[in-house]
Amino acid sequence: MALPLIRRAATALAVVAALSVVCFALLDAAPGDPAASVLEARNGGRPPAAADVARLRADMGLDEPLPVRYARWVSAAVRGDLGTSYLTGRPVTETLAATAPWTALLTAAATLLSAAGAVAVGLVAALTRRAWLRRAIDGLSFVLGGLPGFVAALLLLYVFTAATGLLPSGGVGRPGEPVTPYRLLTHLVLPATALAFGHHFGIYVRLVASGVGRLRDAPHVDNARARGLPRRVVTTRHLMRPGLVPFTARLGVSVGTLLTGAYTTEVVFSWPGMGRQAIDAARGQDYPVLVAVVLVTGLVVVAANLAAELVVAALDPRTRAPGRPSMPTDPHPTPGETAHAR
Amino acid sequence: MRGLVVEAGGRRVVDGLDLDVPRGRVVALVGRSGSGKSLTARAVAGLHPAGGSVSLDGAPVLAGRDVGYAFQDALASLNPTITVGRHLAETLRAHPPLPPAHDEPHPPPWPGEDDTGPAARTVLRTVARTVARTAATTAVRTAAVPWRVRRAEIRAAGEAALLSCGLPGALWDAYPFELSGGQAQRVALALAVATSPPLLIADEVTSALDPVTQAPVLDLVRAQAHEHGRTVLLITHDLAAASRWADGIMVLDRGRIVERGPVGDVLSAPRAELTRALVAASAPPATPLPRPPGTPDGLAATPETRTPDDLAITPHTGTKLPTITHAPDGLATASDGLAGRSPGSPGVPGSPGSPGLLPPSERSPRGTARGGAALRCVDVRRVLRGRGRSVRALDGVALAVEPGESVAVVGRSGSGKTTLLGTLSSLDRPTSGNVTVDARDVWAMRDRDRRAVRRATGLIFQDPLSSFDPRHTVGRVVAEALPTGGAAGSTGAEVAALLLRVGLDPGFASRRPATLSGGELQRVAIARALAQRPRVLLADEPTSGLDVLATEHVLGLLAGLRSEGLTLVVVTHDLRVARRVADRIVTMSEGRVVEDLPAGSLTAAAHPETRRLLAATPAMLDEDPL
Repeated sequence: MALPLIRRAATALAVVAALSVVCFALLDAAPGDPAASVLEARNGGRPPAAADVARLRADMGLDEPLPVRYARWVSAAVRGDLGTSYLTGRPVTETLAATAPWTALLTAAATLLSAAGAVAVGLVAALTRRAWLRRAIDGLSFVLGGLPGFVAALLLLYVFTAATGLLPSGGVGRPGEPVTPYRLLTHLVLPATALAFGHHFGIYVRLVASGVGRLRDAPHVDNARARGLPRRVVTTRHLMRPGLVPFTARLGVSVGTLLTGAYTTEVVFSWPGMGRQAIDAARGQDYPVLVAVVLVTGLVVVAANLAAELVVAALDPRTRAPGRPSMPTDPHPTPGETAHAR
Repeated sequence: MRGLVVEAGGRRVVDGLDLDVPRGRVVALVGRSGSGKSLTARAVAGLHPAGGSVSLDGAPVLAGRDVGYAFQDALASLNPTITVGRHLAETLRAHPPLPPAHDEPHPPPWPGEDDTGPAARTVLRTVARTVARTAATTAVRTAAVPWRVRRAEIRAAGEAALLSCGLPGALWDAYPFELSGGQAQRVALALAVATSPPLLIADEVTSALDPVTQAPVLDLVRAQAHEHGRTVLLITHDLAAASRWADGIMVLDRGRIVERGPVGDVLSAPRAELTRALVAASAPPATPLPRPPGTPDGLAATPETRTPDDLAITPHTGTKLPTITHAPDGLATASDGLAGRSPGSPGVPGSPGSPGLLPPSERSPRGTARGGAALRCVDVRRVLRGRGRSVRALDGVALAVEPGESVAVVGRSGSGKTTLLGTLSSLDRPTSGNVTVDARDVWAMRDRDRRAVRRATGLIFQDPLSSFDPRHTVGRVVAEALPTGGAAGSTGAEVAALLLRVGLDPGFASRRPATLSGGELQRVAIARALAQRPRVLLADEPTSGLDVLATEHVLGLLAGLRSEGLTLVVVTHDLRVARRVADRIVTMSEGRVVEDLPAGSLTAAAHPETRRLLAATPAMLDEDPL
């Protein structure tokens, strides 16, 4: 187990490194000049003088060739310095430290909500003998699967805030006020729900329902029942464990799209996460911030995939890497029992 | 079992079944596919709701505790994600064998019990008493049987079960997918008997195994009855296996028992029409010329119903079996193709008069007019790779099949038979060596020519259902294989003719594969192969999983095709099948051809592998297996 893990971790790092190169190159190729944008912002929207722009470019190191800039950035990044924001002049790590936890909280809450909900609803669909219930859940998951995230967000906002005023419309409260758990929860419910239902809940329900439902009449489940095992054991060990493998694999893959979804959800709900930061940075050509956001996102996606792969391997030994010693053969060999896989 | 009634899909499948199985005996429940055998077993095991009553020594059966159930497909009956040991442990934990040490310890009485006093105090006291009692019980239980010890005991009991089924205890840590077919079947058996249930149901436990692997497994099943005193219900469609391993036989037909009695009596003197047909179909092909139906010899008048006490082991006698090629349900022509050909006189390949050299005009008007093709493998090797290891599935195979010849490839599971068939079909490219069809190297051809060779090669698969698109009708399945691709207008008539040719009503064309029985499916598969107008027909275990009558019909069809000059290669682990359809029998072992014999002189086989297959092939009563 150790060696394949190291190999996979190395692959993950290589992916992140490649991502940083691509990101750097793309931003360089993008139209516009960061120095000009910065000056324009400072001057309150008036176009800056060409001489000023050139001076600033030199100051920012933008007149050096791309490989040199990249090498400089990498050597700083490995030491934990992701540069300084063009717009605010503050270290990028500092801004990230302020926003990333909020995004993490939102994404984790949404993942938990959609995964737990999907497992529960999917199991009902898979195991019920009531055809109408199965069909209803099927239809619901279909509708939810096709619902764009921002539509879900707007619907929720309308129902719970505009129409009833039950929940706050966004943000995390007025600045300066202490963040109590209760306040946090009330502010988290809407964006997390919007993110969960608008993105993956429907697909998850279908994966759970089909994965487990397929096994309902499987011989090994019959065998478990025939051996008189408790219902709980039959359901968890013999139905859910093998049946949730496709869902688990998908869960890891979809963290990436969930994060992207989180950024738009953050904007709708004024959530102080990385999403708004990224959009501000993109608008103002604040490359150090943008690169950092992309990189952090990439790291999380790669890590989530790795984690899902490990969980799947734990659930289903068939997916584990080779190298397991083969089983001992018969001590009293009956002819014909070579250990060949069917 | 009294008045068992089982309904499935709105149909009464088992209708008022009475069954008595004595302790310590193996009783075989035989019948054709769909006769209700498995449903009866599932009902007894509590897997299917049923009317009537099932009792064990007078007491009602407790499903899960009293019944051990070994399933048909052992590998599929194990959870692929957990180890063998986990299976055993969970079963043992659900039904502890109850030695004294495991008995529920008596909780110590609460001192100073009195129920008088104000209500609040009573409530408090009750709560306190409950808490204290629970704590005490837990403490006593933990002290008596610490978790570690229980775990060790369970493991010991589980490994004992494995050992009793001839498996090493080290298999405890194996995952199901790491087991061979025979091992999986033994694990399933160990799992069924781990908790020492008084009743064991073995549901077609060996129908997927080759005969060499099958025999010891069935020995084990029998030992459960004879040595451990369990009652064993052996469900099978293989009358030969039943005759060798069971003490009594009950023949089931459409949910009713049509005949019951000790093995020797039922087999030597079958009374019910179905039994006779089954016996006839299982009889070795070397049986003398068929006698006309209705005049079986050696039939003693016996009382209509025998009591369970009669199910004693009787010495097997060498009674000649009546051969009746007559079956109910329109299967009367099951062995047309066999009747005309004596299996003892294989056609000499290439010699004048052998079927392969008949001029095309004398052959069937449809499909096979071009005669058979010659297949040849020269030093063919095929290495299969996967998951960090590679297997030499074919290791220098040389095989020549003459036009119109019929060759059976036999061998145990994993000997490379199916890989060889893939190579012969020009679908699977060998790692090295040459495959030629009519002296032309298949893999040196242009793609278009190779596709033409494939078109002239009909394939029949082991599992016909999975080789059909489930959404297509039977008619479309067959029509697609026609040279026209099912596009032209006359396909309907052609499909109907093909279905008729394999003994199916043309009305089948509008049905979906899933609604057909195993025998019907395999006939559709043959019709599809014939639709290609093949010159070569390759069949991979065409009869495994079919009951004897369906097998009989399929073999009859194949033998009939052979007489039309097709080149036929049949892969099978059943020597009886090989003997029916082949001129030559080729034995494979570990990727090599180890013996190549005319079908008629199989008994003269010299190679140990062939001898082992011969020895393991169940014979009817004591008759020579072949």
